[in-house]
Amino acid sequence: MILPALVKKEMREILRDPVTLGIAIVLPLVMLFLFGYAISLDIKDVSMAVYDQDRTQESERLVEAFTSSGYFIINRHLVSEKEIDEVLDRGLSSIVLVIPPEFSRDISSSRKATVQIILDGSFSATAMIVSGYSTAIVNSYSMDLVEKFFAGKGIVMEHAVSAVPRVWYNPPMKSVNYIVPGLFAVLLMAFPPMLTALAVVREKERGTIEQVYVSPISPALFILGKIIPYGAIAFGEMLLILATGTLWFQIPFKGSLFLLLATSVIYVLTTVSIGLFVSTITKTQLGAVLLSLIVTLMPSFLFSGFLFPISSMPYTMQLYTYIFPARYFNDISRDLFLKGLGLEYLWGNILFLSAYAAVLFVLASMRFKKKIA
Amino acid sequence: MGRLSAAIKKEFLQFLRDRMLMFLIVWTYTAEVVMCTMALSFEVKNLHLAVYDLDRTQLSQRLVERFTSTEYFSKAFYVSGLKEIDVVLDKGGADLALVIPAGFSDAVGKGEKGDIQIILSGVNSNTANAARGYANAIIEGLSREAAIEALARKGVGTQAPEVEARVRIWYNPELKFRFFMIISMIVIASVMVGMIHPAATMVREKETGTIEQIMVTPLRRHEVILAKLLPTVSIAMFSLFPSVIIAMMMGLPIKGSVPLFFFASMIFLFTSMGMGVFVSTLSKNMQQALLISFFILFPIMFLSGTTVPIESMPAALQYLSLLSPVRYYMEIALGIFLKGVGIEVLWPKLLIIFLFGVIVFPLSLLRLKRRMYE
Amino acid sequence: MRDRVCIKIKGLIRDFKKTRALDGIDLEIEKGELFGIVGPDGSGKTALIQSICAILDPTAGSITVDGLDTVKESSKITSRIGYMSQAYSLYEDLTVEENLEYFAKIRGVSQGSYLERKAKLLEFSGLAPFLDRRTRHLSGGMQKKLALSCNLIHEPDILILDEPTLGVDPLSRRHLWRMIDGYHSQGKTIVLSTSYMEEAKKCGRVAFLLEGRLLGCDRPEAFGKDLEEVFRSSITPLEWKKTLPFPEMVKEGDVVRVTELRKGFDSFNAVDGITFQVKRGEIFGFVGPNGSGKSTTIRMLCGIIPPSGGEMEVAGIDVVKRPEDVRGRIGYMSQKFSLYLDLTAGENIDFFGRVYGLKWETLKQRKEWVLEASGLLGKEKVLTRELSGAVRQRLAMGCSLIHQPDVLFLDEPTSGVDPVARSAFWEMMRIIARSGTAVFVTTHYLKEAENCGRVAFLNQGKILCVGEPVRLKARYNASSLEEVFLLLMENES
Repeated sequence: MILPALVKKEMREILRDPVTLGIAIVLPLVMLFLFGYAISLDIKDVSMAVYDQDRTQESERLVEAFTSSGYFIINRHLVSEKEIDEVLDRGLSSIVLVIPPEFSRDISSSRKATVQIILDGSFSATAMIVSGYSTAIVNSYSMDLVEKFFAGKGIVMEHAVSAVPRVWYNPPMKSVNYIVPGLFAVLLMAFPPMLTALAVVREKERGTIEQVYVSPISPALFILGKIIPYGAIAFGEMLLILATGTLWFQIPFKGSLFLLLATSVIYVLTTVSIGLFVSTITKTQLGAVLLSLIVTLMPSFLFSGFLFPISSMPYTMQLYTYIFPARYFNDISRDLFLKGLGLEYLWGNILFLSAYAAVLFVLASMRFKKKIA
Repeated sequence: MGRLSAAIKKEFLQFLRDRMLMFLIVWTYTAEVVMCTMALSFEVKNLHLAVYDLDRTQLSQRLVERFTSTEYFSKAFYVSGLKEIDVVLDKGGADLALVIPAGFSDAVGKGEKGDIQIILSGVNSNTANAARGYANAIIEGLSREAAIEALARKGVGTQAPEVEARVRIWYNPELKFRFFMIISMIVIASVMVGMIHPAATMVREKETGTIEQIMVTPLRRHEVILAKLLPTVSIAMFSLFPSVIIAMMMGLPIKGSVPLFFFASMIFLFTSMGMGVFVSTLSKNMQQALLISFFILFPIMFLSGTTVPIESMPAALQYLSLLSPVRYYMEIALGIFLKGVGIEVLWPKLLIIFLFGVIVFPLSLLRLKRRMYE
Repeated sequence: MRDRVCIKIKGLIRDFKKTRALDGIDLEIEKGELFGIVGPDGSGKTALIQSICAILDPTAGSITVDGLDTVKESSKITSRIGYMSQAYSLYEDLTVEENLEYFAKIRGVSQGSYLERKAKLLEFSGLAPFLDRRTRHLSGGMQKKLALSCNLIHEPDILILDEPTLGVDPLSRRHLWRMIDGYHSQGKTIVLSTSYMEEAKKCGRVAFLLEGRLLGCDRPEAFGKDLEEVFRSSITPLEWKKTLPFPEMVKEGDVVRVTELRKGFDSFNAVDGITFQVKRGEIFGFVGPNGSGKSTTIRMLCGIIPPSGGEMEVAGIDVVKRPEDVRGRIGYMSQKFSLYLDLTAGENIDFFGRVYGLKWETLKQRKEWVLEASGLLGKEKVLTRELSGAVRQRLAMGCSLIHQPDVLFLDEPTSGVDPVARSAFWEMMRIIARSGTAVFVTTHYLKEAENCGRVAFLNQGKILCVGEPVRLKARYNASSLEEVFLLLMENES
């Protein structure tokens, strides 16, 4: 009797606040679209400047190797060394290819020719991949030369070793496919805790909390009365993203839908409980929001493996990531979407999430005393 | 003047009495910066390699060693069946699997082609791409060597043309992503604090009702706003100090002028705060103010190149990013710290940021006039 | 004989960080009593009430309700009582009906009983026509009636009310008391705190609190003829300078002139063509029920909201055309609390003084006066949040006139303040008026309206009559302004 009344009241209040509701629906979609379209850590159309001091057929063929790769666009031909400084300082090009004057001479005499590739390293993520691509292009060009050389001598040379790559789980290697499942973990950690914390702190600031104290509502029921409506909203957001992700972005979903929904419920319980816990620490709405952001959104965004791989973190930080539920859900989510794994693989993470939720629920109940002081 | 200084004094007093808030702001600028820079990078390394070696020759070993000798692959372990590869990739125990067929070494020795299978886990496409790149480079390298050795055994000279690329990376020689992250985090902290705090204090007056009291005093609208902004500016600029010091301690090079950075930060703050004030004119209560702030913050932070490089975004989004003042601030910060450029180069970006602010403040004042009259 | 005592309080002590709110209270309340708790502001009434409700634990001592200990068995207690707090207790975005339904379901009231009781309560409270209205759109009085109804829906044996008629217009107050009396006549125990002496007189017994201690507990008559006098005499009044440290002002002529002032909102006219004048140095009262347009009028006169029509002149300034200019010449105290809680008393005074352009020496002088008038000499470093309601009101008033305005606008300044504080407040207003500043005050409380030089009765945006209290009473053959008001209301309907 009590719980339905609590939930009904909360839902009514939420539905009558159009701004909050609107943002709760629209913002996840905005995030989805931004992430879906923007994140392709593949590089294309990188602006390249060429300082060709050789200017022979050979050097031009090298330059062409770059343009025909599709990754680079030559936007400048430099005529002096000074210009390199300028071009990189001003950010006019991201990469400069310097071909020495002895280039073709060295090649024809079977000596090693060295070209210089100067990169703007300030946007490191890009730089590293660009470096890889450009090195690969030069290596490939070099290999071609060797083949031609030996062919000229009548020897047919094959690549001694060739690698046939196969990609499991995400053959097209679309970044969207791996971002979106992770986005669930982030989204469900973004709003529900903040909204929940705000809801409770607002009752405290207003004074309506006193009526709660004087009623038969137990701490556990009070908490459930917040978890259910805000959890429902979170769940709704999730379904929205799921639908948009699979239908619009065509993200594969290989696992069991039931399992996804079930684990989402547990995850949502966790995140909303965090919000409740935060509300027992702060007294003001502003404090509630900032604290939630720091404790939930930022870590889930940064440390859950959503965008930044955990394997590249130093060991201590890797341990640190175990604190955050988002990490576990991230794994589960990706496993379900891309690997289609079943319970046998997921049970560890699921168990942990459930334990986390249970502990938080108990802690929040304990902290919530029906006393003014 | 007396009016304004009274208002300023009041704002500072209120601000300093809110301990939790100050703590949270300083935390965002310092601890978060530290944690993020230590942890985060897009760099792909320490990958795990699973090897199914059916050949087991010196050559196949040489191949595996080539992988593990780089910093990209930290561990190679051998499996004894294709099924195990399944399991290991499923569970995430390995990021890459190599299958070396029997007779590999023989084939290469005879000058024939030896095929190796590389199986990648595409779950994290960034990692997969990088891994594929590394693997290809390593294999190409070995391939070339083996080819020449084979030819040498056939009696052909080992002299063959070769082109080598020497890569030099300016501005960030170690390619330490962390420098980029430090700067990103400082920028993000500035825009968050700059926008949320003014929005919150303006709405709080509305919620408590003191706004009516203020309206009846000779205080002008712009004086009210100015007084509210000063504590924000102070704490933000003040927090920049430990931020920059921490950054330096973590190795961030400071090639340019630090005073210039502080100056640029002030201008950026000016604009962020303008946006915060504008948000407050759109909100009826604290919750709305915070949610709307967040709603605006997210896209402009995202599109600023702080987490994801702008060049990798589709053209439409790249154009959109031009509307984000954070993007310009990011470029200025990078320019000052990593490139050491000065105002001669950066002034257009500063100007753009400033113009954003110049547009947003009068808009807010106008809205305030209308709002107050309700 | 079964124990007739329902609430037993023994040696109750409650400390807060710096103060002792309750200093050893011993009290017994019997079943079926209508028990009143009175005392000036800050005497501990709310602390006592909250302790009885088991939501505030004692620092020492004990309380049992129906034999249940408030500390250890609080959940059993809370299910038997109804508690109407001073603080806001309803959900703004829910309608009247939805709030009632919520409280009923929380308390486990069966559907059948709920419908029955709802019908009765709605009738009794006069809320029936407003079933679908959102609570935030109800007037203060209606909200209190709703809050009371929500606490009666589960028919608790014990009903505890913290200043139930605080700031409520007389009509609503009557309704509320009808509900309380009606409920009491069913044999229920009712404990309430109040600062209105007439209400205290309706109680079976009254406990008198002062500074956390019980001065006495007996039937109201036993306290002596006039409870209010007893009240007043038990408190040492504030001694303060009877003259303001302000220079002389002009005392002749009108300071406010209003002609056909109108303000319309979407569907109705809040102010519907009113005309009146206020003389310099007079105390002018604006009296009327909730929603009659009093606050809207004040806010227009202060230049906070623009009028829809008509003319206003304040201190010689045309407020319609140049609202900003009027700011330095008026003072205003809004209904909602208007000081900064997180500043100290001294800091608030400094702020308002400087913002009004006072020079340091003048400010120092007047600051001392304000502190003294509020009883805060030597306490200027206390955070405003920690001051009691009455003290805050005086401080707020002090801050609003620190610049010696031509007119001081006060919107319900004495709501929720005990009689001693209230008359002290009026003393202050008289002194201010004498010095030349006109005082324009709105109030619900007709008894204090008698203190005004002239009074205007307002209803539904129109002025019903204006004049000196004596003349009005003569005209309508009434012995009190309250009677005049009720007569006028009856004529209207």
